Amino acid sequence: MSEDEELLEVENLRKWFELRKGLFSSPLYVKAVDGVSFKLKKGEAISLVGESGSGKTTLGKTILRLYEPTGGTIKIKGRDITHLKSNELMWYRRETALIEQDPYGALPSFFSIHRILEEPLIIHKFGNAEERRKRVREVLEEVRLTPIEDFAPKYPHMLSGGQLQRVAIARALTLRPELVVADEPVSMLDASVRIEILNLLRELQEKRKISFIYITHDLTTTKYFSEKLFIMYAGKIVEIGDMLKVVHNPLHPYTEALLKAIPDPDPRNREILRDVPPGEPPNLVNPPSGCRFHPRCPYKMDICQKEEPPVFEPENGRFVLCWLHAKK
Amino acid sequence: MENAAAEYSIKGILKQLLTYKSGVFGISLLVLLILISVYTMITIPYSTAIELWRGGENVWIENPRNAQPTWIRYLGKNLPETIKRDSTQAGRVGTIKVLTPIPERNMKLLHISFSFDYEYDDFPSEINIFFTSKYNTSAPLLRIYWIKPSGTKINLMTYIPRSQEERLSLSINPTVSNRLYAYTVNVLGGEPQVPLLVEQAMFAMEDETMNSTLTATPMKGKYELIIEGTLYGEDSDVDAKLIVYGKVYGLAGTDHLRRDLTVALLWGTPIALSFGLTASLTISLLQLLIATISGYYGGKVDSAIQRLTEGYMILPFLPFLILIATFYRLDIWILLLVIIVLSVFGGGVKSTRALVMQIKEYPYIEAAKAYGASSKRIILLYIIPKILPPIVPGLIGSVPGYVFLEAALSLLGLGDPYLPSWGKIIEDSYAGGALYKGHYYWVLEPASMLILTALAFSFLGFALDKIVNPKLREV
Amino acid sequence: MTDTILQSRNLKLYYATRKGVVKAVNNVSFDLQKGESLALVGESGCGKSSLAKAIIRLLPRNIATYTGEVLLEGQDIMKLSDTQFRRQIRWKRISMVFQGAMNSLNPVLKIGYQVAEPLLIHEELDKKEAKKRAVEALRIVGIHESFVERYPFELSGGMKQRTVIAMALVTNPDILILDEPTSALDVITQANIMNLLKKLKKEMQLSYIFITHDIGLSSELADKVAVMYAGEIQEVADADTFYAKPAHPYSQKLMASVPTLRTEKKPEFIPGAPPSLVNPPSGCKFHPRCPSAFDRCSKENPPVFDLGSGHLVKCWWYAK
Repeated sequence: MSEDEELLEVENLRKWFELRKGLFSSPLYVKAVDGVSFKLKKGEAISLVGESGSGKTTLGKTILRLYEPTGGTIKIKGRDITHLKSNELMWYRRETALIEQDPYGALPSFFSIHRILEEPLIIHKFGNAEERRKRVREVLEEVRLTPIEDFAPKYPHMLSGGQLQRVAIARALTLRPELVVADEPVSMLDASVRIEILNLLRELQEKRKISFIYITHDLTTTKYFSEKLFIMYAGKIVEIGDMLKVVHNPLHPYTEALLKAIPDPDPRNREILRDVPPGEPPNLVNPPSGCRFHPRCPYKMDICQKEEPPVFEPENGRFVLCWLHAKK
Repeated sequence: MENAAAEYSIKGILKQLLTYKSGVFGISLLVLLILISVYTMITIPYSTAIELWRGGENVWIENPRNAQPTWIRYLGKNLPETIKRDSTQAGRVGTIKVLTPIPERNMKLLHISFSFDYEYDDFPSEINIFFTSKYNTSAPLLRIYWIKPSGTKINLMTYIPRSQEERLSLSINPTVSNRLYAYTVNVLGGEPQVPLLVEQAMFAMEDETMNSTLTATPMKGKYELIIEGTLYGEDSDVDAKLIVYGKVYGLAGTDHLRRDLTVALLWGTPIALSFGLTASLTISLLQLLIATISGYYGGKVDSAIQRLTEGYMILPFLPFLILIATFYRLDIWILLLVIIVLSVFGGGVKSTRALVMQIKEYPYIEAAKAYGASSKRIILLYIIPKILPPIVPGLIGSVPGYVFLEAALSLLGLGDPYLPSWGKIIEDSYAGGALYKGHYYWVLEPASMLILTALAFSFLGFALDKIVNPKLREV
Repeated sequence: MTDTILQSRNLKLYYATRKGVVKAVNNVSFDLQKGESLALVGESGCGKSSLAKAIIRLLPRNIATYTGEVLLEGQDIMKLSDTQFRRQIRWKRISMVFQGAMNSLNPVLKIGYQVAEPLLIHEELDKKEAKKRAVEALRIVGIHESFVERYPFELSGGMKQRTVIAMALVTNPDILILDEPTSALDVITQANIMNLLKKLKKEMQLSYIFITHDIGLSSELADKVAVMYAGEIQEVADADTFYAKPAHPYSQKLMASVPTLRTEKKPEFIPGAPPSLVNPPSGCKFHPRCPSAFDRCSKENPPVFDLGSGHLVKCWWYAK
């Protein structure tokens, strides 16, 4: 498989959660992911940024088929896995991995670190005990939990948050996956270790040529992880582009607001009020008509309320869901 | 971040338990109960226990009836112990047997003398003489005398054994009673207000106190029973055994059938422990499994299990159990099975299910799904080990409940008819009017054992709860 | 010249736990001027929330030591009895917005009532008057009167946080302690709340103690920054000085670890983990992780050195 080939292809993906099953009324849905399309190359790392409730976690987990998609397709290496049953998915489970947000909750407290890392290998009937031991050592070394002899027999409660997250990363790597989804992997860690973990993730991603989806609400951390940025708002990806270009010249008003809201450490901050739109993300049961950002948008036009914007590509490699960028 | 999970190794838990006073107390009590059980099962094998308990009066004939435990003497009056003298063991302290043959008349003259010191503050409860006679044609003719420490010699009766083995119950013998009445009249110089019982008259001080059963006091000193007899025939012989029944016996006393209560109290321990533990362990584990399946799979499986549980919860447990136990005389293990079947879908399923619903949303479960763990694997390896620790204290704490249940059923007469258990003792004491007659020990002993068991498990449960549910800790 | 409103001198708060004595707040001294906001910055578990609780005297039961002075306009409020403290100080003079408080709103009470509650408890106002003041407090934080009769579940996260701020302000306190007031909010909502807090400070002459782990966010409010580590304040400086040139090695590392959006710099991380508060390291608490530690650091706990104009540092490097 060459570098340029698509590993993952997501087409108009939807995941609606049923809110209420009425006996007589029609059911209500939370449209957590509502028509998302993108492609991911082999070995490509992207950052998926959105606020809580934007559907970014749902999108990540739906791609991993932890949720059953409501509509659209997910293709990996050209194979459609959208509706495969769990027993047909074992190979997909082997090629994908998830890194959870909460390192304290993501590891079973009653297993030793060795056992935690061995579990995926046992499930996928990987080698014998000796080969598994070897693989566990390998991944522990990769995440630099050394000396291995010290860490392998320990239990999760004996480790710090950063160390736990390293174990979680190691576990994601045991089966040598091609696609890894990391859901806010550093948001629960202390600021001083965040960068350390992000650097590690980046390094492993490059070394192993893993296609990586880094999900976060924190735009500042994406800079150190990937070149490509996906901005998600209210169930849709509203902007895609290169990190630096997006940061310096956001195309979508929402991206702009997001960037304005973030304080860098600067004592002048206390003198100014931030120019951010009021309000909060919409309820996804009844999202606004047209563009979902229009009720908060400072550049709102008539068309924004009426028609949902399609994908525009005002610059090469930059995609945006906003009427401001419609070809004049 | 504190996480108590890996402290769940058995060693770790024990270590932590010992840091709590309640833990130390609970463990000590439990160890004591286990030691009692082991000791019991080694020294009194099951079959022996049943034999002893169901053997009837013959097994226990040498024991006093409704005797209090021996140690009660240290708390008050010096109550009499049982005194035995056996002529087959002539030569022992206070036992003389002389058989003088008179060959010309084909007769033998028998002289048996039993003597003993009596230093107690109360009268014996009963006096029996057991005769073993061997004769061909004519039965032997025996005269029985009683010599008190004052030197007074009373001719109690003339007695002719009618069979080889015979029991002469002096306490209820009319002849003896009459002779002693005459003796009393003689001592008092008139009729007594309330005639003394046989054993009272035999042991009373020879003064005005003999006037009434209430005032009579025992005379301390050396007593002697003499049996003189004439035996006919060459190989004729008579042996006698005197038993002066006391008012205390052994560690635990005796019941109305002269049975040694230690047997039942001891055997009650392994029965209670195994019954309580098996019941609570099986029920808790089954409920755990059912709850986990219900909570994890959800949907129709969940609905079915929940509706069934609700049905079970409405079911009146005790009346239902009584109904079954009344119709089928259940032995204790069948009873256990019935209790388990009646409880598997109990309230525990609901609360554990709630816990499972919570745990199944934990990130580590999702992570396991992401790397392909099957539902079965997730339930058995990922959810149950997580739920187990928090339910263990409850499990331990519910043991006494089942022990009490068995006792309660026994008290209602629905327990195992053969096994000696604590509940059976309470039932007997209740039927025997123990409290009404002042036999407090009869009720208090099994009750104390029940309380000890309850305390052991409750304290252990409290301590465990603090360990596995850190929120309950003071700090 | 501004007036000092709150002074803490050698404040100590130790907890007794089964594992030993946790020295959550250890000899903490600082000054807060009227209308000033002090940002208290530190990693989780450094004792910053405990310090807030020690000031407003909302303590758990397992207190081992609780000593020192807290002077409110010169009056040592540590000397007050619990009843006096509750009647005279808590909420009347010093209010607090607790971490995660927006999720602790009582789900079955209308928000108007919840905002009025401190008045009913602390000022014993009648219901009508209290409600009037609650409506006013809600208006100040930007919640329309029509929401007074609503329940917390009908509010968005940002509005709930505004409600909690209104609850703290309704009694007109002088000092407001904000413990991670935006920790569960999105960045845009966070920016809105920060805008609100900035406005309130100016309009109401409030003094803030702003507790956060985020050095970037702290710059939004801080006139003065105090960095806390292992139960001790390591550095105090006014914001301009601090952000330009932090003096303590820990502050420097903390600044260097912050990912920034607009400047090109590669963030560093601090090796090692924060120390246990039960068995803290000897000498300077930071020395095991400190790149510039020398002999003395592991042996003696440094005193506070004054670098001039109120810039205080607890580090041996500044010993003359």
